[in-house]
Amino acid sequence: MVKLVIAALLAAFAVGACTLFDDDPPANTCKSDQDCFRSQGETCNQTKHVCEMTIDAGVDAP
Amino acid sequence: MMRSCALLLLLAGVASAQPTPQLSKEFQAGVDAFRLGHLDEARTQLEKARALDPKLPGPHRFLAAVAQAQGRWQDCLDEARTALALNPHSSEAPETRKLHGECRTSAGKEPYQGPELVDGAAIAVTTNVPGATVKIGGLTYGGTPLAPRPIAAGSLDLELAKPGWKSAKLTVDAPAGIVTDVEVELEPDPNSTANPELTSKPTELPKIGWIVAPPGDLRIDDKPGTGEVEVAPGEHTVELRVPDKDPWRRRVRISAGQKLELHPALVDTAAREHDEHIGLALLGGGGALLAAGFATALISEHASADAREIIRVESARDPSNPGYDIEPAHTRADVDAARNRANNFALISDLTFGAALVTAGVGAYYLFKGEAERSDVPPPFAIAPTRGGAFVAKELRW
Repeated sequence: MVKLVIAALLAAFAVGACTLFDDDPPANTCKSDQDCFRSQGETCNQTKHVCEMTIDAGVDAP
Repeated sequence: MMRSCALLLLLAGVASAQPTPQLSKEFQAGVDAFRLGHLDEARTQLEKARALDPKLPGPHRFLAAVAQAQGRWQDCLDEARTALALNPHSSEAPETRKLHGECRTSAGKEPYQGPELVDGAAIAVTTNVPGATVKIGGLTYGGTPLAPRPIAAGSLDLELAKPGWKSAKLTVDAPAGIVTDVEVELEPDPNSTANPELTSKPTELPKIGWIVAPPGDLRIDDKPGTGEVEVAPGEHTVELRVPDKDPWRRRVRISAGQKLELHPALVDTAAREHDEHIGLALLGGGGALLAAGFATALISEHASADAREIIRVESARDPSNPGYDIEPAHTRADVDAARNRANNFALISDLTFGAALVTAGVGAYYLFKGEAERSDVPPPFAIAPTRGGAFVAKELRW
């Protein structure tokens, strides 16, 4: 019985270890504007390679 | 006609080399009885087989094994030796040599401690009076008792001499791979001026051994006994039961004349069971933590998938294409929230897995520590002084 429990635990650890190989969540990085939320006004900052909201110069600008 | 006669003679020769059906039947019946542990029956059948064809090594080999099981060491030595002499190159020869060596040890003879005997032999010489000079092939090898020493296998001419005693000459055959024990009885020389040691007598080894055990319900080979128990030389199983302690079972090997005092380290049953319960509880806790770790890993993976999906959908929405004016379903803040959730649960999962590993490891240690000795397998050997040294081994069973 005890051996069975230990064997099951070892198998569970082996399965659980597989989660270590999962992909990390995506980061806010980009190579071009295509990678950003363009419809929400984001563009790709080519220096930092990060999506940023574009400042709207607008009609009120001096 | 001539060719037919030759063929008939050849067939007759082959037929005579094969064991007869009667011999095969007796031999097989003896082997079967031996394997079933019916030693007296095995001995009777094998002796019949041996009488039918004394040149066949098989009956001698099994008779040696039966003699060992019955504690008849000299018979064991003689039969093993005969089997080896009849067919020294048999595939069973290594086992027969091993059997011979075990019977020598059990008979209380001095063990051989030289290099491994492969093609060589060994010889040991004893006399009824110590100090007789031993010459083998004209070369002096020392005085009696001569401890087992390696020598070339084959026929050996021995000469033993001691002042005041008649010298003795004999020829012995020393087969390869085993120790040949030569025991010579020297007679006093009435014409000698030297004083013969007439009082000298061969030192007789006792034919029994003793096991001395502490108080308790003692059983040796399933037979009850108390205190100092006489046993035949060989291997025995000792079991000692003491109230509130786990049964103590060990194998012991006794040589003739050996008194073996047992000092068992008895295990307190309550303490051992306490450890066993702690081990089971920790192992259960480790399992629960493992399940929690796996669940949080799944949540983390799910949040990661959410973040990836939001990015896929929102980055595909192109303002220059028709339909871009559809209200965004998710914003960058949603992506950040999903990513944070994934990272947090991944951290929790890793910590939980680590805790599960440690808890289960400690639980396994307590289970190992608190495990009762198995009674369905042969017990381990008791550690005790043995002739010719000893070794200590720890056996792990799964």
